[in-house]
Amino acid sequence: MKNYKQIFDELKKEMGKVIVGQEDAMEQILIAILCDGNALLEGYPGLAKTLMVRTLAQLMDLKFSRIQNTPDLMPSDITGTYIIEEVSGKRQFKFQPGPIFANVVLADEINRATPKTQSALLEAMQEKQVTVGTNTFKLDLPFFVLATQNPIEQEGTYPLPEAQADRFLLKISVNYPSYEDELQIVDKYAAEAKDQKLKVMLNKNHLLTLQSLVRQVPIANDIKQRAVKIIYSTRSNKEVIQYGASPRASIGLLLASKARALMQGRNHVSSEDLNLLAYPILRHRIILNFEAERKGMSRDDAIKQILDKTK
Amino acid sequence: MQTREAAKMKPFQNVVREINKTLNEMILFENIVNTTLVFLVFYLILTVLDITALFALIPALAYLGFYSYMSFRSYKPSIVESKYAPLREKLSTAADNAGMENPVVQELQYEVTSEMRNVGLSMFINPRTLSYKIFAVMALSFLIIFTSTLNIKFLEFARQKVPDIFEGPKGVGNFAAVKLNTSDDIYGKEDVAKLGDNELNIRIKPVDFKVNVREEGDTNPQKFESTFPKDLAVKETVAYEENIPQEQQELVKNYFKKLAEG
Repeated sequence: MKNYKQIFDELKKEMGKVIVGQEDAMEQILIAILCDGNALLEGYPGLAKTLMVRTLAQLMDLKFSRIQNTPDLMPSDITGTYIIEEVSGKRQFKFQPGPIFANVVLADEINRATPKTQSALLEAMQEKQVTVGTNTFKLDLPFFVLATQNPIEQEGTYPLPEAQADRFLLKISVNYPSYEDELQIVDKYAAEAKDQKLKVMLNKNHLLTLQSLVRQVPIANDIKQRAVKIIYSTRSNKEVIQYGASPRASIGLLLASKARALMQGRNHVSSEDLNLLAYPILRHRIILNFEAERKGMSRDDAIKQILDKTK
Repeated sequence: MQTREAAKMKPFQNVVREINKTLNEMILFENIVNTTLVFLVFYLILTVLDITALFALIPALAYLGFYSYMSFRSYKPSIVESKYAPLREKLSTAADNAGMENPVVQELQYEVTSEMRNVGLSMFINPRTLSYKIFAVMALSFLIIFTSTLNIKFLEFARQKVPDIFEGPKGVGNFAAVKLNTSDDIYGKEDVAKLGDNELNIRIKPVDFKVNVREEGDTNPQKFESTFPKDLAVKETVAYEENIPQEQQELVKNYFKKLAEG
């Protein structure tokens, strides 16, 4: 297990050549990838969300594509479409794959796409396949959708429906860097531009092996019970939460905890994993009630309250 | 990877079983010491209150039953983890997944088994607490002996006296048989029955004893009276004689003679 920790430490070190700070966000993106899940990155513009995902794809030698969501983006712009092609004097339809046919898909500003286009991503995220017309195309594995959205400029946006938000394993908050980190960022990028040569740390096969290894990480019964209790409490705690998380969140919390354990070089899940990952797992899966919002509680405050109660 | 070494180890289920067995024994020992303490405390209290002291068994057995049940039900790996921090969350995870077979679990089991070598029995026994308890048991035992010997009772409950049958029944039905019978034929003379302040000098001879002729010395010659007492007299026996006439005797004689001749 120590070897795996070394791999991830090296990976983070390489990412650190490009990204300054944002260690938590980077770790959580890696967790989502190890769990074969999708992640929603939320943060203000200019916080290197896109750069982070692109760098990660580079380090893992994965095919990367980016979709810039706009209100006029059509589903076929994502999935691909049939085009007429002339082959030896005959015209025939040929499927032209869209940007979804990649290993890492960055759906930038997903909340700017229409619900119809957003839902086109649903099948790809959940089933790892795309249906165009009557044909279904399997996507190349591993496949992740890493979507971004910013919490401001909500005018003219289409907030993700709960059903779609639930399909993201984690909602990762990308916060502003600290003063020291920002100084480093300025030094790095305001000076003469030079290309950072990144070393490929993992390939597809390594990643698939790691994904299967994550599920083998054992978990103690009491920790498992606590994970379920945390998710269950979101449904029973009517004082602050109007709608709680689904059992999919329980599965997600356990898997994400296992992935974190593997990244830390541990061969068992710790209670600390639950405490840290409950936030990105539940953030987009709970809806606060009026009373909680009146008190000015955030979703993270509600999650903290639940974690304290289930200790 | 350590899987080859792990394969040489005994199955992890056996390790878990051993942990459970050892801890159960220790818990039982501790519970017995505690139960003894509880028993002695209650015994002492009941003794000084002049209540049947054996009732102390009830709280003692209740304590033993309750705490043994709770202790045996408790999850033993957690107890070990609480005493040895490097095993925290590891042992319980390995124990809960003892039946699983994959490289990660095997590595964890190997790691836990290696760490278990550092866990000593002394971690589960607090010698200071145990010595205090044993000292308390000794102190309580001595206290009980002293209170019993000196007959110390802080609160003596009124005991019901045995009814004096010589005073006769008080307002209870017809108990004529219980009344004092002063007749001489059963109790003898009353003044003889009453001992008063007189001292009794009774010597009880053992049942089995041997007479040593040498120690006993010469026997005293017994004096026998040569004459019978006056009130004894010899009387002649009176035989019964039938008064049958001679001719009738002859007649009977002849009759039997004829019968004999046939």
